[in-house]
Amino acid sequence: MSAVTAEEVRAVVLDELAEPIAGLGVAPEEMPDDFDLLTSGLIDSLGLMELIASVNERLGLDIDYEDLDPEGLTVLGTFSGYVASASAADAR
Amino acid sequence: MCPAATPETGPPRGENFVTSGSLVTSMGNVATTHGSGPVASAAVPAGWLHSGFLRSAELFGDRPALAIGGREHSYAELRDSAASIAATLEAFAPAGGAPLTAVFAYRTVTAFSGLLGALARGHGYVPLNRSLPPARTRLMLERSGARTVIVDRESAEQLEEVLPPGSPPILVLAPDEPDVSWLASRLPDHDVLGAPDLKPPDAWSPGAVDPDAIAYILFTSGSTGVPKGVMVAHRNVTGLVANMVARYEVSEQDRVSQTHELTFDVSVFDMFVSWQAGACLCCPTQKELLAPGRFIRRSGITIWFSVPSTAILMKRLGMLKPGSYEGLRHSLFAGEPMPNEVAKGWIAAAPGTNVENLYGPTEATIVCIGYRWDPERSEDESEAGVIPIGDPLPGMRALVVDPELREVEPGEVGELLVGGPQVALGYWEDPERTAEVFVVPPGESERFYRTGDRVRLPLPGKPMTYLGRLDHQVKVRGVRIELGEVEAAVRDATGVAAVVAVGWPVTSVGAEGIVAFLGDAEVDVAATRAVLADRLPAAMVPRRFELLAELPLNSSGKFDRKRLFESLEGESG
Repeated sequence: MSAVTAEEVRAVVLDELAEPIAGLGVAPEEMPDDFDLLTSGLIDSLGLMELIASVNERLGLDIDYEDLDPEGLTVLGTFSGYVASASAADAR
Repeated sequence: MCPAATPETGPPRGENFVTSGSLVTSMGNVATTHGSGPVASAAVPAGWLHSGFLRSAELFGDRPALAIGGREHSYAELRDSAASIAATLEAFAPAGGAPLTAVFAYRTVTAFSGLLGALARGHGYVPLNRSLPPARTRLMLERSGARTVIVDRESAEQLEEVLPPGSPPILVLAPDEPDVSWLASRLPDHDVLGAPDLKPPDAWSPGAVDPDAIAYILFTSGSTGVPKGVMVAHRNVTGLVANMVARYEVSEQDRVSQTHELTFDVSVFDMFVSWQAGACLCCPTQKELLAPGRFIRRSGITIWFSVPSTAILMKRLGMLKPGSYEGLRHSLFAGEPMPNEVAKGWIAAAPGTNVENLYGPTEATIVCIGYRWDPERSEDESEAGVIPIGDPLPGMRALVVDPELREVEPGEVGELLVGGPQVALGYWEDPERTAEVFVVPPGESERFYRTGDRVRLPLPGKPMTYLGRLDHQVKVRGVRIELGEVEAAVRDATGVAAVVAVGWPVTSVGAEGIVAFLGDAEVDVAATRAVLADRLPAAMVPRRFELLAELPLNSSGKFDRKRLFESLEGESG
């Protein structure tokens, strides 16, 4: 698989969540990187697992989430950065 | 560990009998085999939902009852916290109100000690969840009439929004809060107690058992727009718990997952089956739930229970690698249909496990029909790629009926009615809707619950299969949603009368989300969504709004759901 950038990941996440984000009254490009998708109540934990699966599938990634610490996965910027670096590590 | 035999004091009735898991080794119905020797203690009367917990606290005081947030809490510790809460509630109880205590706590020790404390005080508990919109929590609290709320530190912030303005004074107990002055100042109309106000555990003693008393009230989505409170009595659930301890041979060596929210009744199974057997209940944090595989391994889970959606997503995320979870003895799934493929993937990942699909509406107490996966025959027995729901659990009965409530012939399809000791008391303060769905069918003498589920009455020797709903209820990731409630909320938020909600896209187990059709092209969708997000759980907020000049009608003059649904099918085809 090929590497993706954090910006690409972020764009896919925001697109997947376009409707709930619209409900927040915030423009997608203004979503802060430290926004926590889970604790903010934007989506629940199964919804977040579904989001991660969709991001994987849309970007053609095959990232192993199995032993990943879930702590950072819920934060928009941290998640995007993680997926980007995991895809880069795999592409090498 | 084998507890010393003490003389059996004799339970009042078989279904109230409490067993100790370490003594139960045979499969089958404990309620009919209780002569074989479970130990009854004089200090712990049988007959309560929490009797088994109290018994285990005597037998296994030092063993872990609860693992949460990286810490284990022993049975003795948890019992003392619960007893202390119960004694405090008794001492400060407000006069009047329903015999119910709300527990507003989320995946904390206080959630569990609070619920046990409410039960020990002789009240039914009403679980509230801060991850739901405060307005919905407020509605549930109002509907319940509870005058006491136990709150954890993490949920206390939200209490101001939840306590109904102008309501009678509520007793708020924040047992993990050393200084409640900040909370008291925000809640001037209510009595607020904190950790310093707690009575010692020995100030509590068990009172008389009333098996007909309410053990818990859970609110489910209601088609007219207001959540319905299902009342479950102690006697509805004690037999089931004993039967499940026996069926899965649960012992104090087991570690049981607690993935379900306390507002979902399968959580009652997680807690009370574990505690009756002296096992350790392992509660993941909200974030740990994102990595269920890691949680299973790190917590040493031996009995897993979740909605099938969790397993489906684990499969999509590559978390079902062969041989990943060798410590699992039992893997149980309930809440929505279970696809074959997922069962097979799960067994490959956990080769030592038994997989069961359990079926049950809240109104018939957690689970009442069950199916054990068998690699030899289960695929053949499945229908539409979904594994059967199986046979009634011990003591329960299933009827498959036509619209006149008469039984259909084997092989035919009808509505599933469920009877037996688990059939709940009914809906809280709603005799009309209770009478509609808790019925005595022709030729029967006991009450059955009309599930609204379509099933096929099996041919002899075959298991029952689930085929879908008769009404407008859908499951989104295991959450039961009445489309009528979503429609009512959308009508209310927009002022538009013509609203139809459908579950879309359809998955093998329900729907991914909700699409709302409105007969008005001028609606402000963003504003509507914001209003709904404040009122409804996330899964109930429509993902998409389709604004049409008007909604199509069918030949009987009703909104044409089928055509609207087909318009969605058309765009994906």
